[in-house]
Amino acid sequence: MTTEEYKFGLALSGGGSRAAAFHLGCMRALNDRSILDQVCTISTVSGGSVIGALWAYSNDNFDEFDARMQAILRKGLKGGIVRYTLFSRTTLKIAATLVSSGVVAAVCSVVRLALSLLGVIGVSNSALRKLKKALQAPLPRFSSRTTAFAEFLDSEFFKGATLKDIKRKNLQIIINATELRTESAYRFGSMESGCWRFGKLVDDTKVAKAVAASASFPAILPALDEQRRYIKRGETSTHRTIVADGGVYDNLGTSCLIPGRNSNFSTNVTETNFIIACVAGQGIPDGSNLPYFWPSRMVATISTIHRRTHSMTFDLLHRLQSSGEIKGFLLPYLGQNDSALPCPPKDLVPRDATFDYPTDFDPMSQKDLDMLALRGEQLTRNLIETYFPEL
Amino acid sequence: MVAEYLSWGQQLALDQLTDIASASDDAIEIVRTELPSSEGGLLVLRLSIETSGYQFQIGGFKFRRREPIILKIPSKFPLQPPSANFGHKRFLGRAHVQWGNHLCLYQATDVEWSASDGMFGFIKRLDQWLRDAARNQLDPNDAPLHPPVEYPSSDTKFAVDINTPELANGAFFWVGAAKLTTRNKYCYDISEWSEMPEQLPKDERFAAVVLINQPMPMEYPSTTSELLNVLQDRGISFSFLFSILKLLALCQKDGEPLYFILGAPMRRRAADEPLRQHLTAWKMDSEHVKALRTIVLSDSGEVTEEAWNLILDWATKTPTEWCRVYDNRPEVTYRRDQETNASWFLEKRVVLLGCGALGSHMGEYLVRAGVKKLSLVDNSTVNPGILVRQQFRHYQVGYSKQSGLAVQLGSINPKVEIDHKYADLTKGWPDPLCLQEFDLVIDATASRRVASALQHDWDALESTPPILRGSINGNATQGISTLKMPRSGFGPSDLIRQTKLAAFHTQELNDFARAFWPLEQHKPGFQPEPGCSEPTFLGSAADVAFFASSFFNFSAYMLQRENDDVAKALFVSACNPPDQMFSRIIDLGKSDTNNDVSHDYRVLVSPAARRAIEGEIKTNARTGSSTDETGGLLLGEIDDALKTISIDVATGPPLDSIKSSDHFLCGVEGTEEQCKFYAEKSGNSTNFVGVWHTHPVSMPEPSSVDLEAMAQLLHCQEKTPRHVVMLIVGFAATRPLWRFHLFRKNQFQVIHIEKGIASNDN
Repeated sequence: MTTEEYKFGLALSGGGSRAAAFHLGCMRALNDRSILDQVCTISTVSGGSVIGALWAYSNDNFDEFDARMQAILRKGLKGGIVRYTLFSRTTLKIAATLVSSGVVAAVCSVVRLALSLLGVIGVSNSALRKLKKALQAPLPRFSSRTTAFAEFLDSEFFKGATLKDIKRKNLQIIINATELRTESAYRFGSMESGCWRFGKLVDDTKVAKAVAASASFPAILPALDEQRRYIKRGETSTHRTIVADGGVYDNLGTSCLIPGRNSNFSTNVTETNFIIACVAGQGIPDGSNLPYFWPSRMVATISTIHRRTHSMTFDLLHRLQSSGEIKGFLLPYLGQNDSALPCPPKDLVPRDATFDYPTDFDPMSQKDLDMLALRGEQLTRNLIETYFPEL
Repeated sequence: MVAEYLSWGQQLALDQLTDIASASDDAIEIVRTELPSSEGGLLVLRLSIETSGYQFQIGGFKFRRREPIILKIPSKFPLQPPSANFGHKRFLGRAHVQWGNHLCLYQATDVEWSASDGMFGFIKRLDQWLRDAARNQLDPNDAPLHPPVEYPSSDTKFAVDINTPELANGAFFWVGAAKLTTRNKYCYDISEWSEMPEQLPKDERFAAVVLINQPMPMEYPSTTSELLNVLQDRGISFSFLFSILKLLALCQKDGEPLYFILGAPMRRRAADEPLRQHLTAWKMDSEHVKALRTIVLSDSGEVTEEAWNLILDWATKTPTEWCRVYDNRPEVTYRRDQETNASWFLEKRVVLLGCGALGSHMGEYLVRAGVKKLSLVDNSTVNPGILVRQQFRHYQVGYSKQSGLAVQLGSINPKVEIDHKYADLTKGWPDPLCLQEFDLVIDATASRRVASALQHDWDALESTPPILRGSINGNATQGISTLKMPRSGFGPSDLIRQTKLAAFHTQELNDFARAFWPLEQHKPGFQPEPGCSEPTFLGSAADVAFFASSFFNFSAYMLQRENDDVAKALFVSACNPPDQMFSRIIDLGKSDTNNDVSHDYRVLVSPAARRAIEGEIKTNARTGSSTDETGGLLLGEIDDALKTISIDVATGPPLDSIKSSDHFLCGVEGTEEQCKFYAEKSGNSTNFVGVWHTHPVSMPEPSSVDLEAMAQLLHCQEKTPRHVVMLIVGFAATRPLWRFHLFRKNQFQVIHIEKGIASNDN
């Protein structure tokens, strides 16, 4: 088979700066094999969205992009988020939001709590339940740290670009997020945006906002909360939309690359027949963690659910390949068990040296950056040479 | 009414029809019922059908206001359908009306008649027929024409495979003779049309032919006098016809009848096609032929008068004797294999190498598919054991296979030009055959030696016809076929290697890899005559037919669709056990051919190796400097017999390599593991064959450092190879230029001096 027959989809998983650095290495290996330019679709999540969008919405050559990306990772994004939260024109908006939307929501929350207590002591009827339902945060969160994050990304990197302004030729990007009201996938894309419940977004979205939403992990950053207009089956309607980190729904970003999806029911349906899933997950835990109190139990619970989703996705990729629905896949995996590689390079950066790097956007040392990126590069090259040497 | 012989089905029909009539608002009335008079007899119902609702158009049937229809319902109704007749013969001669009154309701009764619908379905069909008949839509423009009917009464049949002559513009008819050849005791072939000559050769058989330009009645005349009248009306006068018959009678042998082929423009395959001749054959018995001859030849008045009387009787009193014509003319029929895979083979020229198990089956498919020419090549003979699965006959034991098969195939389709040649294919392509004359070469020998020999002979050719190969495993459960298109660049032997690598590299094909390329031969092959026969596979005729047809269809499918530079392999497993059928087509890639500059070897570089080298050059430029040399190992195979070097894998620089702008020293760290990995992965086909490196800014010529490295490789290791390939990518930083060099051990003369080794390129 010739590479012209492949329609490559590149999925860049979530995982903060760790993911971005790992993906940078994967992209180096893909670029060296001239595969990166053949990628038709990039599907990104969270930290993967940062590097994916920076690639898609720039037209510099790979070496320049590589250097720029390294500089960003070394500097980190956290400082920018803090600066734009506390010392920008967004700061006032955040304050205004807190005293309006926030206070109303808090009052509503207290009343709801009271109604719940009435329920506990046995006073409960349908009118009270309806009232309780109606008292949910009536006003959107106009501004937040996430909007500050978006402002920072926009002024520093994307310069007002909207999703349709993609710079790379023949490339489509899908920036994955999660819509928390409908608990469904929400996909920002250069072709179209939206979710299956609401429909397709009528208005274009700034790239920075999509990236910020995709990377706003709910435990740390608030969700983007907006009224947006959608079109579904020819009808336009407005829905309050609460969008958070894409990793909540699919932290690998592969779901929109899976063949067989129907554009009548979903957005951003692609024609990918070869999936390259770069995954910055940690791999198999060593069992040293002992969840005892509530927070650690919850973290372990979420982590387990994530891990299960990951392993099912890996299994799905194998099945899709054996059924012929995709021509193949590559899965460079940060947490890869090194001993399972059939013929690894002698100088492979080991899993143990990289897997537990945190998933935040703090500044990264050059050493960590080099290690993470080199592991991504080595794994990607090794997988190509072992399983798809003709690529 | 006596219902004694009324079957349950006829009772059902009666009940259903009564229900229909009562619900029809008087549109259908059962006028009379005649019960069967004996066991198994017909139930006859006379209906009166209101026709005012049918819209009449010009050319359509003009019905009475209430049309009498007679239904005959067999005792086996509803398993057998009823028939419908008009109660009169006013529509005699119209299309779709037979015997003057019978409505031809169904074209394919088996498909169109539904027993479960019973009379409800039948009356619906009758209603539609009457509606179409009134509108003159029984033969719509977008459908083939219903042919006229003649009722054959003669045992003689005719087969016609050739198109009829065209009538000249404005001509009323075409008159001539048809040369007849005997197919068997029942059937003649019309093998040639010819204008009417002055004299016809007596040692050949001819029929008279008249093709007219006007249609005949839909039902052909049943008496000679009617026929003569009909022909007269269409411009064929009796005297003219008589003169033709007399001429033809002269060339008939005593006691033989004369046949008269009559054509009328009443056939059409599809919409918008011009009308073609419908052919019928009319037989004049030998007694009347003799009378005709007498009239022509005899001087005696009495004898002549008697003959005239006989002819007069013939012309006025005898029934027409029609013969069945099996029409196979391209202009009015479709091939049953049209639009199938096999249609590619029509009129193609094919050479079949090997006439054994696969070859004998494929040969049959080829001649049935209508190849124009087939050359058969083999050098073995038919023995009794092979009759179990090869397409030979009991009487052919002792024949050479190619000649025996030629006889067999010739009897299936004598139109195919079949020749056969005795030749040992392990010695290469049989010289008298011209390769370029063929549209396809089928190598059914399943012999790797034959593949090597053919590759050797075809080495210098830029292109060959497409080549199909096929082979079956030891117990006929798996088969592999390859098809090489003309410009794929691979030779037959290359293809076997490519197929092996594909089988080893693809997980789901690993069973094929083990079956066809076992790493160890566990037991000797099957010997049907132990001790005195070549090992062969174990399998039945059905097994062989399965693979032969799979390979045949695979090739035809590819030949119809693929570009002329591809090569593909079919992996197929048989239905044994029946739930384990499997097939997969693998693209074997395109050949990337280079030449070795030192020994004129052909170098095949896999896309994987090429991309790995290109990738490493980019990586080197990114991580170090584009002016530093880089390199690595080359893994593959060197075949000295075919002077071919296959490069399957190129690795990057081992960790302990030294890169600089003026040399690259290839390290060894990790290379043993890499070589072992690729050898295992390829079934031991991909092994260390050499090294590659770049010259970023200079020509791809070996430097003294390079030569020294070669000398080290060939002489200063524990296990030194016989020869080593060196690839140098010159001008790698700008416009890469690849050049291969093959170094042999004996090219280097080792001179022991005090320290080290001097190398000397011979």
